[in-house]
Amino acid sequence: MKNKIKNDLILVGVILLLSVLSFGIFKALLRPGNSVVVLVNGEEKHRFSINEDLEEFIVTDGENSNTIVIKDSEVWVVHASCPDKICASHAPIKNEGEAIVCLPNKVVITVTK
Amino acid sequence: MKRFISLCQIIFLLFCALALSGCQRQEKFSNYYFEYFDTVTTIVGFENSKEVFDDNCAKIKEKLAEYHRAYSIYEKFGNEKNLCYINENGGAEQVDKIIIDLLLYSKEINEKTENKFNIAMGSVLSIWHQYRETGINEPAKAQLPELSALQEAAKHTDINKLEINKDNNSVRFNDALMKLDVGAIAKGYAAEEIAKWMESENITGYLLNLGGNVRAVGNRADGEKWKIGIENPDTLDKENPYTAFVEIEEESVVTSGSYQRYYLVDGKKYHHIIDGKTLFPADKFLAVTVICKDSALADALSTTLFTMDYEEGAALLEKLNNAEAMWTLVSGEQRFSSGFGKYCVK
Ligand SMILES: [Zn+2]
Repeated sequence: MKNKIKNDLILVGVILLLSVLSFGIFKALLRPGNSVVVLVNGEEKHRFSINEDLEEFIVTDGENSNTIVIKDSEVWVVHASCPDKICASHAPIKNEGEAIVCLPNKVVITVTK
Repeated sequence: MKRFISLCQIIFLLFCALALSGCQRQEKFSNYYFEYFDTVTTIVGFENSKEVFDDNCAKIKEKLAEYHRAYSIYEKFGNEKNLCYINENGGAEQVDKIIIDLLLYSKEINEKTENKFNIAMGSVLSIWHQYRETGINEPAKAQLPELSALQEAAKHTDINKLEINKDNNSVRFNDALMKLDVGAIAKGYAAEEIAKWMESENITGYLLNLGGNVRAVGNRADGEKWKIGIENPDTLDKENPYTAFVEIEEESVVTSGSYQRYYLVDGKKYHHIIDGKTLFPADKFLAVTVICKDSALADALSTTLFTMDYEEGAALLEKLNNAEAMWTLVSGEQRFSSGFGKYCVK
């Protein structure tokens, strides 16, 4: 498995994706985003409106997959083929700059303006 | 006629204003890369166009690739004398300067932390690495390492056996069974060096994020500070996705957590941050976040504090006097160092 993380000792504190927030002084003032962008290996593959519900959309390269759901202006991963399932345990995201990453599958799901 | 001129003037002025605002209004762009340090690297920056941003990212990528190859402990690249090569050969001559600099700095932090931070723990950490890889890839075969094997390996973790010669850039292990593991500092050190290089090239208004190792490179073009949400280590608490929000300009924010990189043995989680005393995963906290100027120090300290008692760690920070921290206890309770609050957005 080429995608395998060989060197997880270098992964100190990794995958703890600190979401970079564009705006917002208070948590309540976090700015809700408009689009959900799905990148595979750094390249944009899909773009959806966060305000239109999307039922079980499968992001796949033929081998690996992450299934995402958009509902009530939030997006999250419902299931994934990766061994760690960290992406699938991530809380739903809805604000600009927030992201869910699946490291083994090289998938980033992020919310933008 | 006069009216016509004034109309022209107005149009001209409007045009100028538009052109000006076009210059000033830089847009925010981001790129993601998966090929460095076995994690995801995010580069965020403000530029006039995606082309300029991508050009700068290409330069940053070259640097990332260079540090990634040099600091890799599990992979060799051709005949480069990287850390994997050095581990296999118990040292090397004419090593790249970026390796010598990292090792010297690691020794310095080792002294400052009274041996709590130790890159000579490789023999112990490689055992855990091997068991964890197996446990993740083949959960049915997941096992714990034998304590006796860990104790035997721990006899070969004396950093004083690491000899570094600055004059001829050579490294020698005076213990044949010693191994280096720079996992707790390599990303932070690379981020810091790359950030300094960017500053010298005037590539500012950027944020580097090497798998959770965040370094701000100058203020945002819109004048705002960078705002970082620190994720709640309790991932089941969907109501509170963040434990804190912090604002930084040129500082670094690094979090070490037990909740992400782990494997299961009989239903119990065993994560990747190993306590040098027990030789088992440290179990005092869910996460420790460190903020300080130097990204390498932030990286090293976040792991080190994770293995120390809160009181002991807080005392260390007071002594160092250049870093702040937030601890999330296993109970979910939080502790802060005396100056952490000044970074918090509340
Ligand atoms: Zn995943």
